[in-house]
Amino acid sequence: MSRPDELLWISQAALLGDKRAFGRLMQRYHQRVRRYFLMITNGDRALSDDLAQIAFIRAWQGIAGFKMLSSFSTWLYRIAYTTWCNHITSVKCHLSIDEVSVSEVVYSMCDEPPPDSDRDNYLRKAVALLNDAERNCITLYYLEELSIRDIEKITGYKQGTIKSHLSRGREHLRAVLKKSDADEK
Amino acid sequence: MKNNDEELKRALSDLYGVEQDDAFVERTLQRLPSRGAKWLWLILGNVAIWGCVLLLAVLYFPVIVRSMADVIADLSLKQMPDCDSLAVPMACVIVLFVAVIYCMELLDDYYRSMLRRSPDD
Repeated sequence: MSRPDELLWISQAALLGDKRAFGRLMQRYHQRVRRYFLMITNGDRALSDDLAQIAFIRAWQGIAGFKMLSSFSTWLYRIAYTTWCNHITSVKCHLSIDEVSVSEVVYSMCDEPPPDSDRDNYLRKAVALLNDAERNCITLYYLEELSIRDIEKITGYKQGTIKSHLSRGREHLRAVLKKSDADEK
Repeated sequence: MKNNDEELKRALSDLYGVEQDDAFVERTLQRLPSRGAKWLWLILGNVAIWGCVLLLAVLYFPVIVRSMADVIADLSLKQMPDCDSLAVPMACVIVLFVAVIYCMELLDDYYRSMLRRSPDD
């Protein structure tokens, strides 16, 4: 549930169009939303910030329609998720490639990865090779620490589907981590 | 199993860490389109207008009834009602018209917001 100070900011932003109140909400949530986009775009900071900005603008435009049926964070993640889906659709249209997988799009978005450790590079590539649904579920579950119930509300997937996405993604990432640990040894 | 989950969580948090960035918030705030408090004004406007309608109706109830009766009587006799008796019903119609239009605007806005898919849909 949303906290009392948050409820006040939401009401001020929704009813009075108070940008300062919305700014406070942004202060509280921008790190989480940007981190979500950062993992989804596989480390493209410029793109993730652009998408986070679009998501916050859409949240501002739609805050009057926020019915408080879920927590504000879940609602915001839902907007972030639809922003990402729209972005992927537009990228696909722009590239006009048939049968292009989202993983390929994300993989193509990765510029030269920053000089991280080998382990980070392995992990980054492994995340890029997850399919979109798996990457979203892994991001929301492990990075944002949301419950499966919340992920269901955000993505619209059934709980069983989320669990199987998580299981497949987890296995994939664990295998990569194991391999990188073995390589280090 | 739980340790593995923790390890994965830690690895992902380390890799995709984001710092607090006030400049990002400022930039986004500048890009927000202005959105007036339309709802609030519509609700307040409706309360004010219907309040006035009710008040006028209560205060001028005998005058309104008498004028209406005069107009109906004149019309039933196929006579043109005189201006004095016509003024009050006309004023009532105008006030009611404005109030209804204002109310329709509020309802229209409400139904539009209900029908429009919000960004989280």
